[in-house]
Amino acid sequence: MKINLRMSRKLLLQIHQDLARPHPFAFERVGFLACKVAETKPLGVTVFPYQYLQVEDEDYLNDVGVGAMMGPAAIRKALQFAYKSDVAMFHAHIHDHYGPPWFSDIDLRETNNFVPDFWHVRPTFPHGALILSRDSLSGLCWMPGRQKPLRISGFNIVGFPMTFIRQ
Amino acid sequence: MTDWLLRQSFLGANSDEMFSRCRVGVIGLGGGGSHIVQQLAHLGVGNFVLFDPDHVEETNLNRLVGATKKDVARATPKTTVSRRLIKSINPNAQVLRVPKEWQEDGRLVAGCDVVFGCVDTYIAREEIERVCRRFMIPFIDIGMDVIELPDGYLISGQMILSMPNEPCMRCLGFLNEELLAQEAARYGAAGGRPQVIWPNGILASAAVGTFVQLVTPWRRSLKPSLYLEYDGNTQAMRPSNRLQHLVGKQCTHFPLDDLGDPFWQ
Repeated sequence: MKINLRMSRKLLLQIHQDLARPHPFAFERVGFLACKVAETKPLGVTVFPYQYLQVEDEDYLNDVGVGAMMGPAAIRKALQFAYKSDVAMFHAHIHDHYGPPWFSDIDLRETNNFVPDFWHVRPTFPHGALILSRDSLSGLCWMPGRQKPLRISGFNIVGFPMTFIRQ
Repeated sequence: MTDWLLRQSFLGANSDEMFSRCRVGVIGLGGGGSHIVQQLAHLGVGNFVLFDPDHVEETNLNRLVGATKKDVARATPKTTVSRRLIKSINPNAQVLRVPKEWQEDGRLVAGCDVVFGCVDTYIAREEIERVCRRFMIPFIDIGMDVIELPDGYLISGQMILSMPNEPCMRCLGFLNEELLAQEAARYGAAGGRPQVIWPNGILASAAVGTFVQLVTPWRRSLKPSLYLEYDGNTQAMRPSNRLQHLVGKQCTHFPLDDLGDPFWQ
């Protein structure tokens, strides 16, 4: 099964703008994306992020060991949104460089910890995590019934211009 | 850059990759769609999904690019004619033929990166736009009409880019409920409407130009045209004046969260 993601350029810019804001103590910011999902041929499953949910300043933990550590309130709010709005949820953060980004060991450990929690509120949806760079992005998607995440193999950024990223 | 595309390298250093990766759906392979697939094949587009339930008839030969007398005799599906045309230009292109109504498997449309609509009715355009919005696909529509007037004929047409998060065909005033209802009431009484090749070619070229600007923006400062109106009597193509009323306005007909499969389980 292949996973694809389509997102508007406007939404991508909004995410970049929020993640670029300095935080009082965290080294970087994180956020969540509310997403709809569909089966599309021959791509497999396509994820459609449509709304960015920023993590409030007070919902970060002061942990100097990582760039940003979310507190329980941040996760709870994202879980509540997924439950109320009947959506898939994808975590997002940025690595400040050009070219395709990828998950660090800490990223993998943390996302493995909290992404499957979204199945408690929305068990039939895929959930996941995205990493942005200045000009690219990568992602992992946890499909229902699968323990290991799948790499998102294609991104369409829909706007002027269109961008197709295939991985 | 692939050798056979060298002369279009001004479109961007990676334009050949962009075109070859792109999956383009073309709905309707008559006078307009056959022009479009030919041009897309010359550009190096690598993946096609071709939708048309019809086969070639005698009356198609005045405008169906690639069709021959033999195709009439053999009742060749239009999807087969287009596939043959594409493969004769770019043998490496992947072509999926769908010789049936596109609605029979909407997930094939949903898998396209860009969709061209070359259909005859407002109702069909409305349906395609609805699906494209739901799956965040840019939809490029072309259409033409020959209208009989007391003192002759009027040829008119349009090329519309319906872009997710941008004005839709209703915002542009091209579609409205009254028009759709009138057409529905006339269902089955359309008959063989007049058609001719060159306006189809002009509109198809405008559509392909819009696609190129969308995918490989070779003129950085230029947004693709959203709505071009064609006057076939004066051979003029110009941006619709309806666009000036829409600057900065958000489409209200397709909510931003109306995406994906509403029945996903």
